[in-house]
Amino acid sequence: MTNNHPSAIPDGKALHAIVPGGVSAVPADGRGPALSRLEPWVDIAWIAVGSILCFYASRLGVWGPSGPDSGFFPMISGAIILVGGGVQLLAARRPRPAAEDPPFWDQAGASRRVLALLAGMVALILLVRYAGFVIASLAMMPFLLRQVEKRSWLYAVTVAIVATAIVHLLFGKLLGMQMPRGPLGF
Amino acid sequence: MEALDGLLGGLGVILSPENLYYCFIGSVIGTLIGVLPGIGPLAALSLLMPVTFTLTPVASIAMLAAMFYGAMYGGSTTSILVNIPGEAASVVTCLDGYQMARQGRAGAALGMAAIGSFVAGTISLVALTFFSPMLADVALRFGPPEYCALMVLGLVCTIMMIQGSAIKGVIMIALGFACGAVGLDTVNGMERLTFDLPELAGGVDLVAVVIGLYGISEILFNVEQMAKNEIVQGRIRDLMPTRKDWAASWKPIVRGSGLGFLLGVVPGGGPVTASFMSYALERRMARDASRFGKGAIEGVAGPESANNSAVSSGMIPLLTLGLPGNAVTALLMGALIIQGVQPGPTMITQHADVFWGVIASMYVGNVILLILNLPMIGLWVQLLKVPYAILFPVILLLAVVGTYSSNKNFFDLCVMLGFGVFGYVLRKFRYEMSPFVLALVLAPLLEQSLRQSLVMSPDGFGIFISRPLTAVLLACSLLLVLVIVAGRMRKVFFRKTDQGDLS
Repeated sequence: MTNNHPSAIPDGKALHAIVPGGVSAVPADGRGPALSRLEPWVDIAWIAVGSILCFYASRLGVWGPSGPDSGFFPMISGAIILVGGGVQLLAARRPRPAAEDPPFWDQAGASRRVLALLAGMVALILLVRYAGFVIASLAMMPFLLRQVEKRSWLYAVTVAIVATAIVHLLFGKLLGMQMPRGPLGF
Repeated sequence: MEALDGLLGGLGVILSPENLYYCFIGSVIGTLIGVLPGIGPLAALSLLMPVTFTLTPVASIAMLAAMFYGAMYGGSTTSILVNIPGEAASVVTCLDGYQMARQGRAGAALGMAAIGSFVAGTISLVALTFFSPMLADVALRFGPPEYCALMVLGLVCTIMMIQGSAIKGVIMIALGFACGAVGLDTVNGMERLTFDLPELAGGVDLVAVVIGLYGISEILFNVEQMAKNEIVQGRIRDLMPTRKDWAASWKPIVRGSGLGFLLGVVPGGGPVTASFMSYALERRMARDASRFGKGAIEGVAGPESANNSAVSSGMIPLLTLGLPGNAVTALLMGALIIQGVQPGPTMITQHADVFWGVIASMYVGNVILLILNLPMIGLWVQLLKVPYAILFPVILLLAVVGTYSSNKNFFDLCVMLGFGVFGYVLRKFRYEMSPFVLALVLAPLLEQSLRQSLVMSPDGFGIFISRPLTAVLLACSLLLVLVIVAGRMRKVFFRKTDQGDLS
């Protein structure tokens, strides 16, 4: 029987290609820019973060009369990030074999699913703030299920009601956890 | 005798109906999260940590710890039957476990995984019981410089254990330190890195960060990678291994227990590294290594024993030194502190009921898990049929509720989402998240011990050389750094030589 779950480990796949967390990093049909072309931007971001941290730390004061000051630790952290990003940026010039360089999204429809999920999560959090957990969940879950899984409205609404009820009853009522409440009190 | 008395006292504590109930609940949830792909032990622990705030310290930590080692038991089920690791420490079990299942030997693989886990978990627990009081005794003599050096050594070990780029690991550690420094400076009360946001004055919330990094980023990853997978058909039978299976497996179980114990104690080790190294060891020691990957029972028995052994021994540095060795024990440390229990050498005397109660709960939990994973395996197999399309909304809602209920503020939900995206993007570029979480938890402790050491020192950093233990620990750290650098340089050199030969 088939089941809809994150991808399995292909037979005989080398261990180094397996990313912890149950996801296989298998280069597929190539969608979007290759990771190696994007990686220098990550390194530049590290250099920026490191520089900001160092600047901020220097304003806090790195060393005082009794030893390290408030900025000492952030300064060390910033310097390490700055140098690490720089070293990586220099190393990124080396070309990689195509097999080790998959695209950012390596499956058909992956970008649509991920971006839809992200948009849904942002909306869910905003709605939770103003409408409370139950209303936000009932409003956003069908949208997420439709976007991510392309299921029917009936299926999406049913799953949303069941999931919301399970979480609300189990955690809100049975375990007494504080749930985000809206104007209607739930 | 002190250890035996303590353990008996701990059994008295854990066998109370309330504590036993939460130990059982933790074991069930642990098996569940191990079985279900798409949610790992760390994400589940962080999601459910707020539930434990209202419990007693023993019940709380017994439940969370049971979830951790329960996930190790449950993780093998999906690896064997669906070829999907339920959690990262069961990745290698897929290689031979799934092949065994395809050959109609799923029962033997599942049975050996459960029995191996139980045997290794128990061996490791016995060592934990007798070793912990001795280490706690030694640790009582530690001052801030020793703690500082110990943490530095731990972080260097973490970098050494990283499977990918060491530089990426160092960046994640530094980033963890920076995030750990956010909030009020405990020494002079000055606000740091808060960017005038009042919500950051108390620091970055650990629960929100961990739920984001492991819960949200995992959902994003899994939704991206959705694919159809085959569950091995047929009834699961013959769970008890045959005499031949035993003959092939007992040595891997013993080796896995020892290796797992050592790697659990070493900072940065933990169950994932233990299972990978055990598989490599068994393959190397096998007379016919070509059987591996085609259904060799040693490839299931060894790694499954190693990961459980590592979970138990991972509690040693946490309970005796107050230093977590991996991200999960870092979270357990957070839970202990929230409960008002400071883990460390004084815990054994000041909170003896918690110390021994938690250790005893692990013995009891192992028995519960053996029962849950052998006779009740059919129930867990049924759960594998739940599609991820149903699971992910529930996990997402749990993430929202878990993060919110921790501090009851909406800012944490934004932190959770931000770290979810951050984790998702960085995992694409093969950055590991555990060094970040470890550094985030250790940052305040390391900074405090470093500053205390320098304040009490008449000659600045000289205090780290003048104290023998500190000097030895730092020398070991330096040696390990040199080993890491030499290893990387050798790789670069050989790559260049290869390229030169080709041209």
